[in-house]
Amino acid sequence: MATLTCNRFLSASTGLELAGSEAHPGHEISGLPPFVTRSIPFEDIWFAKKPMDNSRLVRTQDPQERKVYWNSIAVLIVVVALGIAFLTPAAAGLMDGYTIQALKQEQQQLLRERSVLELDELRHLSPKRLEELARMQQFVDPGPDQLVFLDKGETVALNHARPKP
Amino acid sequence: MEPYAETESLSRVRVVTRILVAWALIIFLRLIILQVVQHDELRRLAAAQQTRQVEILAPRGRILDREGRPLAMSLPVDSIAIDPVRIPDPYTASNILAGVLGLNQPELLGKILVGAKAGRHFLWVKRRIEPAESERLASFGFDWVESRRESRRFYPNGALAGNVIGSVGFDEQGNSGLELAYNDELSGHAGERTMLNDVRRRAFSEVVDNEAEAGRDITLSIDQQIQFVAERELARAAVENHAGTGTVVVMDPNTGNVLAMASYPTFDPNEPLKKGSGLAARGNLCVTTPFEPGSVFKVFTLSAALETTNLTPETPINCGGGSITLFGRTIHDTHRYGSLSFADVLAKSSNIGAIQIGLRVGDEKLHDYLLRFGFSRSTGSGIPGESAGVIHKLRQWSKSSIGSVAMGHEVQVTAMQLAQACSVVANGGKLVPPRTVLKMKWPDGTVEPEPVRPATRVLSPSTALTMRRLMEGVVLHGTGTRAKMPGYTSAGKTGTAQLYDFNLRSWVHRYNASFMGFAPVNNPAVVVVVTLYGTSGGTAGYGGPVAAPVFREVASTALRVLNVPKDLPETPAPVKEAAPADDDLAIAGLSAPSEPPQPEAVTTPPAVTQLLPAPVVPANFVGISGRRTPDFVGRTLRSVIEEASASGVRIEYFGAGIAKAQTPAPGSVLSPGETVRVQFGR
Repeated sequence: MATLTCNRFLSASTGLELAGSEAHPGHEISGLPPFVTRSIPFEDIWFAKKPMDNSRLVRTQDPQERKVYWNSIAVLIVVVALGIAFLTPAAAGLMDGYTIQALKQEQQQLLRERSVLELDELRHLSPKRLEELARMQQFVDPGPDQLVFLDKGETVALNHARPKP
Repeated sequence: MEPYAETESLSRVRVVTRILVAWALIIFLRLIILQVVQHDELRRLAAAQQTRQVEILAPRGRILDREGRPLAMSLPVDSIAIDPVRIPDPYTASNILAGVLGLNQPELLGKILVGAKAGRHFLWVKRRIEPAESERLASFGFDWVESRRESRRFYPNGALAGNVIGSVGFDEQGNSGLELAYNDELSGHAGERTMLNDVRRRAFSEVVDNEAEAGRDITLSIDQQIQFVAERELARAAVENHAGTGTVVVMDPNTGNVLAMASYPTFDPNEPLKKGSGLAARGNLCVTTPFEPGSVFKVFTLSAALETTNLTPETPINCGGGSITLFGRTIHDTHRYGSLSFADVLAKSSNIGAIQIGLRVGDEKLHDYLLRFGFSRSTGSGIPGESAGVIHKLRQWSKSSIGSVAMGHEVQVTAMQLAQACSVVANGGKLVPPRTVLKMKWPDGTVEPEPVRPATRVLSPSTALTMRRLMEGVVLHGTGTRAKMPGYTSAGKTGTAQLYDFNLRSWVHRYNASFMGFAPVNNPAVVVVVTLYGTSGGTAGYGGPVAAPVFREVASTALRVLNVPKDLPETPAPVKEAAPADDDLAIAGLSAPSEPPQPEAVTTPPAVTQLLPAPVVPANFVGISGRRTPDFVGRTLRSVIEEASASGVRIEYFGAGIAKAQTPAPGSVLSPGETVRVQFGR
């Protein structure tokens, strides 16, 4: 037990008399009668008290102290800088990774939507549909030697296609 | 230290030490279990939690027409799966899914219940759904619905060129047409990437394990617009004339590029293959189905004659009054011609005349020339299931076979072979192999043109030019007048082969009507072959009334699309209605028309020389000899050609515009074989 060890250490190293040791001269635990029990636990622990006066001590200036402080601060700054240097890109990379993945998904979605729109456009421009529309709007192919004059302002597509003067 | 205290302390220390050692041992053992024994399993579980493998789609290459308009394309679409165990209310879920995806609700409910009972966490609901369906389903936000990206083939024009393009199966692998023929080139190779996820399954990084390789884009020689008109006109003619099947082939005779290949009936490759309907229904009849060509074959008989005999367009041919007995068989003409010029044999489509010419050529040479024209072997068009047709080996010919072959019987050819052979006449005598694919484009943009196969000479240029004039005569005053086009000269040959019903074991009044021609005559830009199988209606089902109008519409559209300059004034050409000249029936029925050809039944055939009397000019035949030179001065080129062709006068013209001078002078007597030179000017 720690207290016992301490006790024995004090006795052996300092040579101080333990308080109350006279009250139990030649105290031998093994010498007690077997029917005698201890009155309180750890009665063999004794505390020593030695008053010390350090008021006369004067703290001297350590010439290496400031250097140690600055070194410590520098090391701390370097460690923090290194930590930031290593951790910040990783964190930024992680955040960028999220952004890149989101953008990739968006790109895929946009490509898909474009493909769907292309398909719709092709379906709308299929010859069969165009012919049906032409039939519905009563468009006819001009016959041989037949000239078709466009009414100014009434047609749409061909007038718009004319180059501006 | 007293012995008592020391004993007590040490025992306690020992106990605590043992506990600590045991604790450390337990930890150590646990670490061994975790990091050694269960290492692989835990690593797998961690990987499954932190990473996921995602397939990188490799889209199948597009199929484009010659102008770069997509005929087939693949799009990424969603496939829907569910977790039956996590579905809170299977009945409601099945109702929603069935409503959005167009599924059978009771059937889906049953699958969900079975899956949930079996503890399954994955069940496909519908694969490759439409984008609109996907959007509607995503709007519900169900956490038990999983959407997986797959690829789906779309054909934006529906049935257009379906028989050419073909279709793909459920796994997007080609199962017919060019989709099958070029499956390796069109197919991409899917890649794979590993996605790193956070605890909320959000990806923040990825590693590409295998790069995806997209398929190659294939550009066809097919023109979408010409293909559409060809299919439209073919379908119209087939319905009007009760034909079961039909084909149209449009080809550039100079390059061999196939501009259109229409089959009737067609199919929509967007529709999945139905159970019970074989892939044969999706075949390209232009190359897969040979038929007896009938009178169109006379073009090749006459071409061989011009090359191998001393026959000329003006040579009179004895047509025997409409019948001929050939090695015990009697073959009839639809009209009783006493004698016709070589040119008129083609224009009037005389069977007897063609047989006489064929006999003059001889078995061996005729057979040789037919092979030179590309018959009896695949054209190499690249379309799966192409038939080589049938030209029997010479040793298999009977004595009377030449009579049948000369007028297009006892042979079987495909429409593509006819187009290829007709191109020989149109392009000046060279056999140009057809091709349907112009180039391929790799995903990196590299364009790889399809190699052009070399052409081989079959006819001399002069023979080809002569045959052009003879075929123009068919259109101008022969059986193919319905092929006249406003604005363009055209040439061709009609064909009608009577069909034999093997169930009834007799010839029936149904025909294989065909027309083979090209335009313009002087510088042909397109060759068009039209066949309609099983037409009816007597002479109204012949090649002239049925197939020639299809040729006219398709060829005029093709010439317009190709920006071919017109070589005639744009005046509407009056079309003659049904006339005797339409009769071009190549009657295979011989002495007993109700029986199919039985070559082995021929006994003791007489010698050919006995059957072929020397050409005799009948009294009513206006021969070349003694004919007076027509007056061509002041007439247009078209008018001069018509007149010369009708009167059997060979002309040679120079310049363009109006005829200014001619040699010999008008009214002078022409000697046999003499050419009239006409100078045109403006």
